[in-house]
Amino acid sequence: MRIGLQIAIVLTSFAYIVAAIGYVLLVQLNKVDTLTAEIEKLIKNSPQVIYLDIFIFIAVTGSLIFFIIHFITNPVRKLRDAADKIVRGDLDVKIDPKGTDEVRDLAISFKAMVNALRKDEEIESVAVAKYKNFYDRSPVLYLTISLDGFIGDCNKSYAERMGYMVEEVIGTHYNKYTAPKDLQTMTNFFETWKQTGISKNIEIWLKTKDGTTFPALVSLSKLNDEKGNLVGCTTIIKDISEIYESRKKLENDVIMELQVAEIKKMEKLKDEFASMMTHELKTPLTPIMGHCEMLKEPALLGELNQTQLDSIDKIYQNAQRLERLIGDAMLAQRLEIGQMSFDKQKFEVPKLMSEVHNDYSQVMKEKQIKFVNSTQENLSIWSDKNRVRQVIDNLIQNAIDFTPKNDGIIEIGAKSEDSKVIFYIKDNGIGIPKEVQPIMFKKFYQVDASHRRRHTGTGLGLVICKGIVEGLGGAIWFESEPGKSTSFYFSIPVEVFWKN
Amino acid sequence: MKILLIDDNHNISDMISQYMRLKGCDCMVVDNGKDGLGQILAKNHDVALLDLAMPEFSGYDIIESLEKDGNLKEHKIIVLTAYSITEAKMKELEKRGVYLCVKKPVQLNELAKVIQSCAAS
Repeated sequence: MRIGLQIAIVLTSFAYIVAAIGYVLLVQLNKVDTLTAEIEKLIKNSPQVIYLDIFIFIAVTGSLIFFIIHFITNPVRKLRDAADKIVRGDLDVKIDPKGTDEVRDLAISFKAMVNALRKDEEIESVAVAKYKNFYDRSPVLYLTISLDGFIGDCNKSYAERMGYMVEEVIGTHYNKYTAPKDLQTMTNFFETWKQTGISKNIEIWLKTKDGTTFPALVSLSKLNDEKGNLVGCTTIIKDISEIYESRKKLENDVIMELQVAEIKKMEKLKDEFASMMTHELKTPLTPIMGHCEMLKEPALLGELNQTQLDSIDKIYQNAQRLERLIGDAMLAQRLEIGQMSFDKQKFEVPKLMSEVHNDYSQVMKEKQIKFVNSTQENLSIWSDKNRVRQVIDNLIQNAIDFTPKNDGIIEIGAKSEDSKVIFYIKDNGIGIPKEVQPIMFKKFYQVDASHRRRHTGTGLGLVICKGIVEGLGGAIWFESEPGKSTSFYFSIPVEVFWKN
Repeated sequence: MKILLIDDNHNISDMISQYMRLKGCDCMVVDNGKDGLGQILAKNHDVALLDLAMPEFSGYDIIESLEKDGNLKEHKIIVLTAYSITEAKMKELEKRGVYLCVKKPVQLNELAKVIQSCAAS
């Protein structure tokens, strides 16, 4: 409105100036009196002219004022209202370029500016949305906490991890989300940070809505107001549940390793003790057996009668038995703790079987047992010859013990199958009772109490056979028909295999 | 036949020496490693029977000392041992110059045969 008023004043002033100039001119021309007289005459005669003049004057001025307001003042005011709206943050304004050229141009520029602002706002809101998304969906949990511990804001990840909605979290105290055992630690940490500003990562256990706790790394960062005063902190929380699990597992692995090392040490000590014991136990056997030998040798220590010689024989045999027992016990223990070491070499199987056949032929003859070696294939294998022999000896010994003295047959041999050599010792003896078959390879087992007296084994025989055979990479098994026959088999894998 | 027997166990050494003497051999008994080494070096024997497990100065120590000085083989040593010695270890000692390794308890007549063949070699 002001501009209209201003223009009206200007025009009125202009009119007065023109009138003043006219009056002055008239005065100069000495026509003032005439003019005044004329005007008085006109007013007296026809006052309508004066009214008309006044009306015209008002109309013109009024039109001018209207013109100015409509084409200048209003558009400008609309622009100002729009500007006010924009200031208040509402970019949704309609600009209608109207009015005089200049005003219209202004309005057009204004409109362009508003569009530019709108575009900026769009870009900004996209950016804001993007960063808000980063914030909300970050794998890191964020909190904004006031100095007295109340949560001003949190990101979605935090709320979700804790089992709440964002709105539920805001306004609550951080203690609500701290595990009871770490409440004090957290308070101390917060207080220390307030005083020193130092916020190292610390491990704190947090608590979710359903009460489960999990470990997390927490660090604090200063939050200041515009004046630079500390008003709170940004809390950065990393959930370290997985790392914690891995770390625990590693620690357990280390503990296990230590335990295993400890056990191994104990085993070694046990082994050394056993070795020493074996030595100590065997030592007296030497003089026992030696003296028996001397006594038995004719005319060495004087002549002895048969009864005395038989007595000495008993002593000698029992000493031998003791020697075997000690050896077996030691071996069984070594096998049990996996301490058996084998002496592998290449040897020919038929040769070994012939040796066995020869060595036992005397005994077999004495017991009137038919002894057959049915090895046919020419095989060579790479294994511990002495141990294999030991197993064969053991099995043959068992076969002899359980085979009848008349019509007894023991068949030994070896054959190839896949990449293994299968040794067998078959007898036609009393066989193994069904109920006893499952425990044949267990320690200190004996088939039959009545056989125990005749049986010269130590009860460890089959255990040791199994240990040796399996230690060499093979397997041992048997087939037995009670009252009819027994066949023992064991396989030895062929590491280097020739077949002629 | 002169036999040198080095073993710290009197039960065993008494028995073996008694047997050897009954068989007509001279048998000198030494019950510790240090003296044993000295006697070996004195070269007063045809065959030496050496026990491995002795306190302070063991049969192994004797063997190592003899190896350093010269040829182990010429000392005609037969090792007797009750310790659970492995076949490999026995072979290794024999390779180094021990005539033979014999495990205890030892059969006396077998031992006699071994001694004979060692002296002859």
